[in-house]
Amino acid sequence: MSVEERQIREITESVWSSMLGSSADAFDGSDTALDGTVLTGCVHVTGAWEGAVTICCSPLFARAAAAAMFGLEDTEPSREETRDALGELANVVGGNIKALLPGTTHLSLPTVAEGNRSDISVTDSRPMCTVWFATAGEPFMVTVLTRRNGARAPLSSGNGHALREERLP
Amino acid sequence: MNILVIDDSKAMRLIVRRTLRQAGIPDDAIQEATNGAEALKSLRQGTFDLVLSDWNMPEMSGIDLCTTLTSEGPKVPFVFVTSEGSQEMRDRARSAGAVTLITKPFNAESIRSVIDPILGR
Repeated sequence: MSVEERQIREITESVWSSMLGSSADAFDGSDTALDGTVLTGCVHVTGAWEGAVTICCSPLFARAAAAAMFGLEDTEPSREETRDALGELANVVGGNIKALLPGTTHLSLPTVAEGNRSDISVTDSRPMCTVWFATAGEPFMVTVLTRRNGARAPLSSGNGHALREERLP
Repeated sequence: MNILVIDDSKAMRLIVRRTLRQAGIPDDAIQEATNGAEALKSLRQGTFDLVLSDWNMPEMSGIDLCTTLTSEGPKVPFVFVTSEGSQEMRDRARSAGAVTLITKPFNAESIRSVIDPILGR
């Protein structure tokens, strides 16, 4: 079973249009496109198919997304609001991707991690498909990961420790 | 009119609330709860015309809330608002007593097409 880039693109564009009122444009991403600290929203899929869906973006992008979702014009979203917004975007994109998967599967509550992109990974999983986008020139990427083995796959840092992963309120 | 919006995400509650306003529902007709357990207290204390509930929530999920309400007798119309819109989820929702399921993302039209018949508008 594979999730195609086209499907991820369609789902993300629809979610961005509806929830943020903005477009998710095609972007020619690379490893340097998201340097420094990033925020990663993640939902895990378990059951007949096992893996995860992540959205990785800059803190600037996450705050802009939160401002759009909370309807903030003159004030900055709080850290909690920023994480809530990114987690919900991951939840909605992940839920729609889950609908493409075979058999009975379950979606986890979203989690959000913060750190350098190279240090954030979903343990025991490998990327199946990554699609880069940009909104107002700010890049982000959506990745579908499939689990390598039967172990649980938390969002974690490269050394295996949970990286400020937080269950959202 | 009283509508209860249940979602653990504050951002999503705001989006649902905003979309309901776009669909013609006055803001003072909308109340919120952050999970099924909190919603159950509100539903046992007040009178509601419609429940719009997320599925996947901490403490008490939407499906557990719906099943509990159905088992308690006279029920308020219950609609799931969830990112997971598979046929299996729709079947589970109906089996639990829900009217239907709205898939996220949604817009005012899709919300209106579901709630108007329920609210008799």
